[in-house]
Amino acid sequence: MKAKKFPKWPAAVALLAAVLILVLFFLQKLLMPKYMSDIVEGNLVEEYYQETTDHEVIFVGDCEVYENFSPIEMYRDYGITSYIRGSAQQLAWQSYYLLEDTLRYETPKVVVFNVLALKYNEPQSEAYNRMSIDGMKWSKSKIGAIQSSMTEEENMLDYIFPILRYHSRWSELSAEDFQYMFHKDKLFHNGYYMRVDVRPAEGFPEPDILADYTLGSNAMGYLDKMRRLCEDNGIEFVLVKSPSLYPHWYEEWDQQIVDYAEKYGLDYFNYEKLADEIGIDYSTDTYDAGLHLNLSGAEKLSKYFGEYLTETYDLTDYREDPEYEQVYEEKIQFYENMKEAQYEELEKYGEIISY
Amino acid sequence: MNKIKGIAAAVMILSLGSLAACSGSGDGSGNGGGSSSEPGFTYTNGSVTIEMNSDAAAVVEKLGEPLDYFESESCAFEGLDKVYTYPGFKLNTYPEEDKDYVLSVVFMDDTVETEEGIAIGSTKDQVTEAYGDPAEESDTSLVYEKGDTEMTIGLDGDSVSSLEISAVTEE
Repeated sequence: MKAKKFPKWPAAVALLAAVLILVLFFLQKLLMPKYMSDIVEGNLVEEYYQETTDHEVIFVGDCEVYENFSPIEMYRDYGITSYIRGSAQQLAWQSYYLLEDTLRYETPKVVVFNVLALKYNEPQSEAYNRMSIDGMKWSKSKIGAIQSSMTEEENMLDYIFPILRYHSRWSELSAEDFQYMFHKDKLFHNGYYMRVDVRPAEGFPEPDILADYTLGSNAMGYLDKMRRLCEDNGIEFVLVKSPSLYPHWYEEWDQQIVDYAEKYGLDYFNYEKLADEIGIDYSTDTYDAGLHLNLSGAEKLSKYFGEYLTETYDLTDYREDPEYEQVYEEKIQFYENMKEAQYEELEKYGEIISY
Repeated sequence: MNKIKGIAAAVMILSLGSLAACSGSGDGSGNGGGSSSEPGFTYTNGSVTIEMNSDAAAVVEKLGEPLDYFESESCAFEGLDKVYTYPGFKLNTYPEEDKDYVLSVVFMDDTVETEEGIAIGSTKDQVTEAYGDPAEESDTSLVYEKGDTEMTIGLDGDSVSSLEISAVTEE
């Protein structure tokens, strides 16, 4: 009896497809922006997944959290373990999905949300979307973040296969694109972006007269979703407005947050109004004329906020835990090294150029 | 063997074709300069007509020295968002590559008016008479769209309380 012959072409096609997928995978890794020496904020979201220990406090929000709160300072002063899941112009729905994503890995005791992003009620910018979303690991939360964030010109396929979006970067590839294809250096301190330079705040333009001072229903809806997500998981939810002087935070907006916090029994702190009590001096504690705090300002704010957290919630002093002590010893060293390196650059060049 | 080669070639052509045909510039940036062929809303101050998405440097040069100038770094991007304050209005710009473009004109008081004569303090009827039915309307605002621009008019009851002409563009 003759042995039955199987055709060879299906195996060859499968092999070819596998090779093709592999090639496309490498190309995608190569072509995606690395955000290592330029626009480093693009790496904030991704860096979270390198964490080896849990956190009792999670911050979510835009630059007003990742530039204004220092988790390392809060650990040093109070033994608080915290992480900032923030990114540039992180919109309310992105904060919601990043929080949801975080809860896949850990359940903190307290979540802190900075309210500035509530002024945006609709998707704003693809470039910022990319920085908030591309770094997320694939999950239901990432899909939700994409769906809620896309501008009219964007589509889901470009997020699933970023090579479709970034293929034209081939002409601007640099050594950095090859160097950081599969591994990136650590840039942040539990999500905190450090800057030690000083640019005193001066004047600001008169605030625009707005057509409507009501915070949008879409944004407020996601605030509510964050509150309920925390409630469902037994997490305390705290609202803050960082002490940044620009863009303008209208009193009408503030009152809506005050009312919301009162309605649900939440704590809300507008640190713009408490800047004197915190000790923030806008002639020395900001690196960009009052938009964001520098290291000095962030450490003052963190010390002040850490005291509130310690006194209000049943947080653990992890300075007494050997496992955490070891992990944070390294983190503190990295923090101090970067601080020193930035001061050296400042001395040498008169400005920060590598961070 | 020829069949296998044929399939391989087809797969490669399809893959490369899909990459070549896909959309987007790939740099994740905004859309400075605008793209619509329909002219948008403009604002004329004296002899200077300000078009949204136009080269801001040329506009500022024509307008002359502002009362006040403010610049701030974008959240993460290079370049500066700039605000020029002139009597009665503010001119906002956004950076793209090496140039600044006009983002918006915001009326600050009732000393300035649109080309159709609408100013802060005008009535809602005067607005609809000048511009017709808005694209969007609420109790507190009317939004008109034209080309790559929109004009947002705030209402306090029956009276115009704010007016902004802006480029429809990614920030």
